[in-house]
Amino acid sequence: MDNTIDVKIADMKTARNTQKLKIYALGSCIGVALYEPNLKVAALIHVMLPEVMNGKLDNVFKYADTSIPHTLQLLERMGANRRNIIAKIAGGSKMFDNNIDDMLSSIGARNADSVIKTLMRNGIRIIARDVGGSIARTMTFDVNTGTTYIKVVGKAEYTI
Amino acid sequence: MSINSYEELSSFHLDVLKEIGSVGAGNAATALATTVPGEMKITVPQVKILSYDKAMDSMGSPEDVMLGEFVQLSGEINGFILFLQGVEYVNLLLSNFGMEKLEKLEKIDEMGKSAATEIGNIIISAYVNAISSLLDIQINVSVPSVAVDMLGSISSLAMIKYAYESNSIMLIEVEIICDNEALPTNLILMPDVHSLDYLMKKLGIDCG
Repeated sequence: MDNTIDVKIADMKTARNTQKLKIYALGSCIGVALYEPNLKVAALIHVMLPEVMNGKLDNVFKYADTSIPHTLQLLERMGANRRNIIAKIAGGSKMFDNNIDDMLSSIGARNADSVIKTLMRNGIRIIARDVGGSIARTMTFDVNTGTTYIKVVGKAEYTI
Repeated sequence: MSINSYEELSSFHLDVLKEIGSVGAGNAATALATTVPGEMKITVPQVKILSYDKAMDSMGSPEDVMLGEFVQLSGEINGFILFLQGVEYVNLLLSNFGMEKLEKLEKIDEMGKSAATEIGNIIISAYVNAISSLLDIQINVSVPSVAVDMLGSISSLAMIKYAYESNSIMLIEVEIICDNEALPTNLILMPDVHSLDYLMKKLGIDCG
């Protein structure tokens, strides 16, 4: 049995021990892995947008500024100590060339900014990152080892 | 009354959109037939209203490498057209231009990319022009943007554009068939919700 959990867009999943968390084909979206190494519990968020606009919170996991604090609370409820939680992030690309409109051209970078700021504000250390550029990434987080595998087109899989 | 979300559309509204898509697709097929040999057909459109994750699943496997051509529509209708082109379709175009076929789509060079983009632009314009003259409305088409990468990373961008307004997306999809063989392609029209309201009113259709 494959114990890999697929995290869809604007969603979050938690996992323990020997499970893996996976996001396929991150473009301008960001995968935020939050990990408590001692307890071997982790969460992976598939962030779509940088922040909530006009207080219209339709889905807590869609936005960087709401999904991260919410997920940290969930991990704490699972027994994690906030001070031990570390983060690994990937994504935030600019997939299309410059003809596209302003909102879409800058969304990857704005997602990355918001994720980093929100993590800092919550006192979470980012120990690995693979963000930006113009490539798609598939991100797999191995809860047992804390290793993050990144797959891009035309290259061998690497770890962060 | 007006339409404020995709979910408010009736089955009659969806049929109307399907008809509009059919007219566009017919014209696009004619345009395509003039550029490549073989019997080219474009399928009857499917109109879908889906949540983001379902919409992405419906377009194909997220890690499949596709050439995505993206144009923005503005004027009396706002939205996007995303034209997803698989390696078999792109090879058909390239061989027609005397260029070498690709083993993998990611090996495409600037020349090949530009050829595929240009043909794509002709097809998209034919599609939009047919809709525009049918409804007697003005639609401006932006210069295309292109990416060659994993499907999921390309399709998610369309959702992101509307993500502040809606948790679902409307897809009006057609596929290209050459000599009775379906090529992995997908031409997707994604009108924004306000445009649908405008369109139905323009056609004199009750939006109650």
